[in-house]
Amino acid sequence: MAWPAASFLAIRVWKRNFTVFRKHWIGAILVYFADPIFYLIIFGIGLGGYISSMEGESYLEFIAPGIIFGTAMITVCMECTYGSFTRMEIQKTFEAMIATPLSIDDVIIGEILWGASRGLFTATIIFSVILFLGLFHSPWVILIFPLVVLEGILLASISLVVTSFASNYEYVNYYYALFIAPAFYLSGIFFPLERFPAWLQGIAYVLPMTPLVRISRALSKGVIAQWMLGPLTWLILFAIACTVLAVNLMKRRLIK
Amino acid sequence: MIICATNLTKKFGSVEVVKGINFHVASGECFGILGPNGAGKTTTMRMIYCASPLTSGTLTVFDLDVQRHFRTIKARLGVVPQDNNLDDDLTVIENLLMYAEYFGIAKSEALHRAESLLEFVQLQEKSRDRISTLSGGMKRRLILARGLINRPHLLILDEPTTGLDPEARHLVWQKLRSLKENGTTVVLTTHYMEDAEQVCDRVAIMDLGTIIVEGNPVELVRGIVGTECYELEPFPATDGFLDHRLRDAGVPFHKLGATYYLFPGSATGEWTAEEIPHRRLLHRRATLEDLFLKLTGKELNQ
Repeated sequence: MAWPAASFLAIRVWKRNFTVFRKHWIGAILVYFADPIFYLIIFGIGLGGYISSMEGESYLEFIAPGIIFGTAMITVCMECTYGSFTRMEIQKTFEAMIATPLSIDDVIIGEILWGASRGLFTATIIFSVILFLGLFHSPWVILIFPLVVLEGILLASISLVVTSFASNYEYVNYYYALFIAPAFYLSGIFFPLERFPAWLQGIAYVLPMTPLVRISRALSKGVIAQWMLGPLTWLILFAIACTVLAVNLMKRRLIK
Repeated sequence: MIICATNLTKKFGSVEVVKGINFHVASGECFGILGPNGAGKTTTMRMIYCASPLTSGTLTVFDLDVQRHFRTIKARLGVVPQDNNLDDDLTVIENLLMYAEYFGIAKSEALHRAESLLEFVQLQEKSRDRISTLSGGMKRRLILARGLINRPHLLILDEPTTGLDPEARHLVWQKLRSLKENGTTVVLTTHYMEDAEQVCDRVAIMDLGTIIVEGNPVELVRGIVGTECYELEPFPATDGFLDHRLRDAGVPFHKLGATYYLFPGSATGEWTAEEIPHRRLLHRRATLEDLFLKLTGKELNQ
C-alpha cells in the first residue's frame, strides 16, 4: 500500500473526460433534470399529500436536500463504474495515457476528480430546481456544494475500488444491489432513521450517505452545529482511505 | 546510447518471460526485435516505455533509469502499441489534440502539428471522422501519427503492421523509412522478416526470453545461413537416401514437415539440388526466417 504519487498532470485526465462530456452535455442535463424531478413529484407531492408535516417542515422540504446527495451519488457511481470500466477495459484509454508523461496514479486521481465533478454538475442542477421551488430557507445551503465535492471524491474512489475488481459489467449489478441501493434507501432521505430497528440504524450510520443527508437537512434549516464535526471527520478519513485504496488496487490491476 | 539494457529480466509470478537480456541502441539507429509469439518482445518493449516494471537488471533510456525518471523519458518517447487504443469517444484530429494535451503541448502548436501529421499519414480528409469509421490500416496510421505528436527522439513500435493488407503495410513502412532518414531512433518488433531486413540497421532475434543472435540483418543471414536457400519436397520414400546424400555433400539442412530447407552456402562436396527426385523445388534468397530456423530448428511464424 503506497501513498498515491499523483501530480498536477491528473488535471489532463479530467480534461479528457470533460472534452468528451461536453459533446453531449445537453442530453446529460435533461437526464439529470428528469430524475430528481420525478423524485420530487412522486414523493414530495404524491406521497407528501398524505403527510402534513415532517419534523416541522413540509414533506417536500424534508426530502429536498437528500435528493441532491442521492442523485449525485448515483451519477458518481455510474461514472466511476460503467464509465471508468469502459475507458479502462474496452477502450484501453488508460493504457494509451500511461504511454505519455502521465502515470497510473495521475490517471486514477483524474478519474476520481472527474467523478466528483459529474456529481457536482448533477447536484447544481437539482439545487437550482429546489431553489426555484422556494424550498430552501437559509443561506447556509451554499455549504451543500463543498459537501457534494466530498461525497463525490468518496463515492468515486469507492466505485473505482469496485471497478478494479470488475471483469465485466455484471459487477456493477452487485455493487448496485449491495452498496448503492442500501446507501440510498437507508440514508434517511425519505423518512427519519429512528423508524428503523437499532441494528439497521447502526448499518445506516456507517454508510456514507447518512451523515451527508443529516448535515444537509440541518443546513437547509439554517443550523450549523458542533455535532457535524464527527461525521465530517469520518467522511474525510473514509474518502482519503478509499482514494489510497483505489489507486493501489488499480495499480495492481494495470501494472504488469 | 539511447537505450542500454543490462541483464534485463522480467518475471510474471514464477514465469520468467525475459531472461537477463543485454542490448543497446545507438542514436539514429533502427533496431528490430524479432521472434515468435511468446518470445518476450512485447514485454521488453513495455519495459522500455516504462509501462512495465523490471524484475531485475538495469534499463536506461536517454541515459536515465526507467524506474526513477519515467516522466522525463516518456515525454521524449513516441509509442505505437500492439493493440489499437485510440480514443473512440473522440474524432481523428481530437485524438491527436488530446494526446498533445497529455504531453502538455500548447493548443496552437498542437493544432499545427496535428494537421501536418494527418497529412504525413495521409488522413487529412478523415480529420473530423469518428474512429469507428476507420479501416484497420487507417487506425494504424493514426496511431503512428499520435506517437509522433511530441516529436519523439525515440519511436517505439510494437507490431506496427500486423493485420494490415499489403498496401497498408507498405505505406506504414514507407513512413518509417522517411522518419529514419530524418534521424529518429526507432525500435520495433515485427513478424515481417522481409520488411525488417529492409528497414532495420540491426536486429536482435529473441526466443523463449533470450536474445539468440544480434547484428545487421543482411550480414547475419550471409554469415550464418549463406546467401541462398532451397526449399525441397522429396518423394516420401527417398527421405533416407536424401539425408545421407546431403550429409555426404556437407550441405546444412533442416526438415520441417515434408519440406527440406537446404542452405548450400557452406557445402563441402559436389552437389546439385536438381539431382534429387522431388515433387517441388524452390530456389530463393536466404532470409532471417532461415536464420531463425537454422538456429532454433523452429519456424518463426507458425
